[in-house]
Amino acid sequence: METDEHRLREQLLAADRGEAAAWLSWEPPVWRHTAFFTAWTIGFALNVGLGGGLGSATVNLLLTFAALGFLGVERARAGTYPDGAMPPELRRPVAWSMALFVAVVLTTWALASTIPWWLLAPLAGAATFVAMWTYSRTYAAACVSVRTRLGVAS
Amino acid sequence: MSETTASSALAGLDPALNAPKRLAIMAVLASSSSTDFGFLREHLQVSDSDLSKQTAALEQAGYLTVHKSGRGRGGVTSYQATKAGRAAYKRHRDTLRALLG
Repeated sequence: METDEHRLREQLLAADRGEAAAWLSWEPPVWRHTAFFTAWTIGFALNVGLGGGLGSATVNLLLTFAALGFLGVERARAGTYPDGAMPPELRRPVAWSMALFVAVVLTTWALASTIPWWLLAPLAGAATFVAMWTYSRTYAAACVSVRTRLGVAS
Repeated sequence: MSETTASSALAGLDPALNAPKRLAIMAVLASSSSTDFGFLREHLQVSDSDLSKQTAALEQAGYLTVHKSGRGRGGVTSYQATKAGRAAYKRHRDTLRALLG
């Protein structure tokens, strides 16, 4: 009976480790994700700052393809793409990063008509840099907690 | 847990997922949109042939689909959990949790 329970516990641990694996593999290398999204926001700020309103539709399309391309390259590099329930430790950093990124994009768009493009672009870039850097550090720290809980080597 | 409750809970365990390696494969696939052969091999720490055998069994059970892109050394084999596979995995994991409290 005890052996059965041990076997079932081993199974549950294997399941928990498997569910966390894809999320842990997406631990962002600070420089790559930070550099890409900082450049992306500067591009967006230049587009709305110089183009007015929502900016050029073509450039917005190119920016969308660039983001999708970046995610595609990262997926190929990691060998997987996380989808579904994430380990509880990662929920907060992921939610914060999404909220911050959306806030930066919306603020950039809202400020585009009130401040000049040459000020808007570096401000948006700096805000994204700080947000991404913080997110990367927080996500990495949460990954350490997940690995410790599941007894997974880094 | 009484014997009757335990045996009815055990009925929720899927025989195809009782093997730890297959369960681990389905756990990874249930939490990803798709996963490459190399990633699974590294996660499970198994040989190519062992992984191929386990994934073939899961494919036969209708729990995953295989996608191959490219040829030769640069080719990539990736796997996706099917709807039935995700449901079976979730049922199995929930049963484990219920049994272990």
